[in-house]
Amino acid sequence: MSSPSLYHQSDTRIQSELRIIEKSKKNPNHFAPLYRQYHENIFRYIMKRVDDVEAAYDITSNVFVKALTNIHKYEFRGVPFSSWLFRIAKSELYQSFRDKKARRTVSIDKVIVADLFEEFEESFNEERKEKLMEALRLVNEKDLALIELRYFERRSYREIGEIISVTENNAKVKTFRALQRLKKVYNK
Amino acid sequence: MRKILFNRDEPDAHEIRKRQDFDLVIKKYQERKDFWKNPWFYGSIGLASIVSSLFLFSL
Repeated sequence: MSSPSLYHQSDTRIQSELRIIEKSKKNPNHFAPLYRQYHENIFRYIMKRVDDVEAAYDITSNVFVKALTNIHKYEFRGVPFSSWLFRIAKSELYQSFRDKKARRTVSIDKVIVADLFEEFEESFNEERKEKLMEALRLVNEKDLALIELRYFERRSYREIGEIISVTENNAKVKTFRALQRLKKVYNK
Repeated sequence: MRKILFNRDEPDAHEIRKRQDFDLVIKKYQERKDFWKNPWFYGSIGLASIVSSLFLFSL
């Protein structure tokens, strides 16, 4: 199950978020509406990448603690607040892998697998699914992260670029190359 | 080694909402802030610097 995308927002909503952020810089209790708004999206992002649900809740909580600790550094320069939060989520996630608090997991379903096979110009069957799962185990971490953002979560190149701190065009090129490398591992 | 999970069960939106705990976030934030503000933290760093400087000068 996926939650609705919060990436594409109206100007009014962005302005209202910015007002909450400014107030939160003075008093952290004002951050509550943003926590409620983004909690599910951040949790789902983390949940798909760890094997334990309690660890996912714990990491999600740490993401918001870190966001509050660094909120004074946030300035709106075209990057939406949600992308800033996802960057923190990404960093907290990898920290939890380093601290061995969670295990790196890849969550896939039939729809995702079918979409990937469409990219590979192949049809779905059980044997190919197993082969794909093995390829996802072997592909390098950077490539996997891009494949997850684009093909599993269907994020735009612009949002991917903002999360991994590159331009939209660069995100597109990197994602294309990541898919090519996955294809190569799959065909080995 | 990465774990690959196919068609796993995930908590629904209602369950996730029930687990929201902003008070805990504020508590952890406050603890983190207090840690960095704690004079003992800077005191121990200062003391360690003085001791290592004295040791280096004595060589």
